[in-house]
Amino acid sequence: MHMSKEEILKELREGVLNYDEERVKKAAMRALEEGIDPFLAIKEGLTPAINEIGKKFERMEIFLPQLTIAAKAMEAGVAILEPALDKSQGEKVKLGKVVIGTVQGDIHSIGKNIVATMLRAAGFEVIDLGVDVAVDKFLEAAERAKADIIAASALMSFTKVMQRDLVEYLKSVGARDKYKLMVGGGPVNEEWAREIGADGYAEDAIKAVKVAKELLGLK
Amino acid sequence: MISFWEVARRAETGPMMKESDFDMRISMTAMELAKEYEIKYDPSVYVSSDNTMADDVWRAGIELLLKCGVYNVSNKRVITFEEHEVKEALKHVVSEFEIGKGKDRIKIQARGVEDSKKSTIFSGPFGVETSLDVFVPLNQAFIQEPLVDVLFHGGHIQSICGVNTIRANSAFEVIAARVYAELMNQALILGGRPFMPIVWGVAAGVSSLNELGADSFMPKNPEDIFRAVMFLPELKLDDVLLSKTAHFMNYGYPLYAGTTPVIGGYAGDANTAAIVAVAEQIATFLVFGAVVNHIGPQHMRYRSQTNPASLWMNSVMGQAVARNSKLITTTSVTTAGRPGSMQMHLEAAAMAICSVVSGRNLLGPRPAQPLYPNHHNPLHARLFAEVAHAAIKLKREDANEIVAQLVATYKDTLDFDKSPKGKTFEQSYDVRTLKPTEENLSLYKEAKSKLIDLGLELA
Ligand code: B12
Repeated sequence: MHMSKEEILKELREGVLNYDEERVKKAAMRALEEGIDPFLAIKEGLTPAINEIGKKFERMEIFLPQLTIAAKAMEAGVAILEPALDKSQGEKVKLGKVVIGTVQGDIHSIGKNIVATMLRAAGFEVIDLGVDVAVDKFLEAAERAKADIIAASALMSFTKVMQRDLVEYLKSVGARDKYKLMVGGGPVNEEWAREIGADGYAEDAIKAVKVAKELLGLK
Repeated sequence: MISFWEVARRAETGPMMKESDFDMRISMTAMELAKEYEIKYDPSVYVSSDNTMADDVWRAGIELLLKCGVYNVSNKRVITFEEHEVKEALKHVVSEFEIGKGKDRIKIQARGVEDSKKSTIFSGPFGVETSLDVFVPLNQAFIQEPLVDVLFHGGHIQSICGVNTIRANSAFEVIAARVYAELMNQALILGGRPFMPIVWGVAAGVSSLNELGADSFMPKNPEDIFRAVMFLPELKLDDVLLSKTAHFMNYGYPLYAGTTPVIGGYAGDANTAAIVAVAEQIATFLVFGAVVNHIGPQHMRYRSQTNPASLWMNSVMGQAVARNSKLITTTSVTTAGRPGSMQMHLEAAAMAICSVVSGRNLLGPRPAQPLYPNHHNPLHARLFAEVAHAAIKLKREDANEIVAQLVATYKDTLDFDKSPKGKTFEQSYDVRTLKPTEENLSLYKEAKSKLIDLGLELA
């Protein structure tokens, strides 16, 4: 049966909003079959839905599990549509690559996971290094992935100094200018970010997406 | 009952899975169970009086634990339990425990819902950076509070020998931990309670190394010192934690085990978090054979524990555990308001009342986000304990009404940028005489009279 563009875009949106990965996948495949512009399918189907999910999360109407599932559904849809994009569209869809981790000595992961999830949902490619990440591991991963942004989380006043170490290490090995550096976590604030010479700070995951976009000159 | 050695063996051989899949399994299972048992969060209630719901949450919690198990993040294996093991273990619960020596020997007990037995009060300057010059007086001031039964963590030494921030696993962690032991001994002796029971926690830096670095200089006998072991939320542990547990057991320390389920995180909303918290409460006992089993009702957005959702969750899971087991439990209390503020007094009172009528013992209060070194004030512990002891006369409905009025005073200033900044210990006490300042004392009295006006019987 034929489906109109509007119907397919609606399916994509509803799939994400209803946490239904299969529905999103089906709608994405259908979009390709019906010859719908994949860029449009992402931009007008998936993106508004995930933005709405983000707002619900911010308002505490949904929580981390729902956010994670919706983001996974979105990613599954993008994975199907992406190969069909032409080169210029492809660049517009993938916002950039972010390497994220919690600094050495610190095993708090929840906040970092949320930031990673939101960045992914917003269209960044995220390489999550987990917790207790040494400064050189951030750089190695960033080099391997050709990342745009390195993001470091620290949850304790005694581990946030490792964010400063990260800056110092990147400088020492001549890599500081190759990446934008973003920091966050409970004891971190704007002032600290400035003091250690990071490029960006955000107090929560929603603002982290905004800051990451700004750092890469996206609106 | 299942032994720790058996648990450790399962941690070596259990089925493997991805950590993110385990996290989601917890979330999904808790949501299914909440649906099946029709457990709903009612934001207008702070202290539940619903026995049926409490019992359902208990059953759902056990089911969650049996379905999901406990995850070892180090080797990606799941420790699983059988229903008969859980049932059998719960028969072997220690419901009374004596600890300490002489006049400071105390009996910690399992408490029931609306129980007239007093709650044991654990308190201390824990979680807060403490400078060396103030370390002894600050702890001594806590020790001298007669209503503090157990000293909980002596504060955190963060700088020493010109090193501003002790790095995890650096030599200074071990050096500072050794100093911590020395200073804790001094504080206990000067405070006149050398044999007061303690929960001995992170001393310096953050790695587990430091905890072991001072072992041979710790005060008194191991049997009077709780060692703390904390799950990673939700229902996870790692090799270091298992190793520490083995060490503590080998040396005969009783264990204080717990976790901080995070509402809004993988535990989901307050209703599912209550189920997860019950599973965790049982699991800390099964895994560690802990004497005291602790829950910190954490919240993702507020990052403190006195918000409406945390109160409700604590009351429901607390009653579930108190009605269906003889576990000795504590609730921890972290506040958005900081030391030396009216808000911290009132937040602490709300959670104390909620916990006491729900069958729990108490730990706290402490600021969720301390802003300065030495950001603590033992007068908060005093009022907190007084409130806890007054609350044993309350029924849950009355408790709910009082808590509602307390929440109304602080609910709009729970965000850290809005909550009062408070004062340091030096600004709130004469550090030489250990007397609270006039200002500090009158704030305490003012808070107390507010609470009396709300119907609490405080002396
Ligand atoms: C859960 C928790 C734990 C769990 C962590 C489990 C896990 N897998 O993450 C466990 C039990 C293991 C734990 C252990 C410890 N903890 Co802890 N923990 C917490 C707790 C209760 C909640 C943290 C949390 O998840 N918050 C929810 C998330 C969503 O918030 P968030 O992390 O801040 O993230 C948000 C923002 O900060 C931001 N963000 C985060 N990262 C990034 C990164 C970037 C780049 C950006 C832009 C933004 C950003 O966006 C996020 C989403 O909005 C806090 C209390 C608190 N007030 O936060 C203490 C707390 C962080 N812990 C503390 C301590 C002391 C410890 C221990 C040393 C205690 C102990 N007794 O063992 C150990 C340390 C272990 C170690 N080596 O790391 C202290 C730190 C005190 C201090 N001076 O800084 C706190 C503040 C509690 C307290 N008041 O004492 N902890």
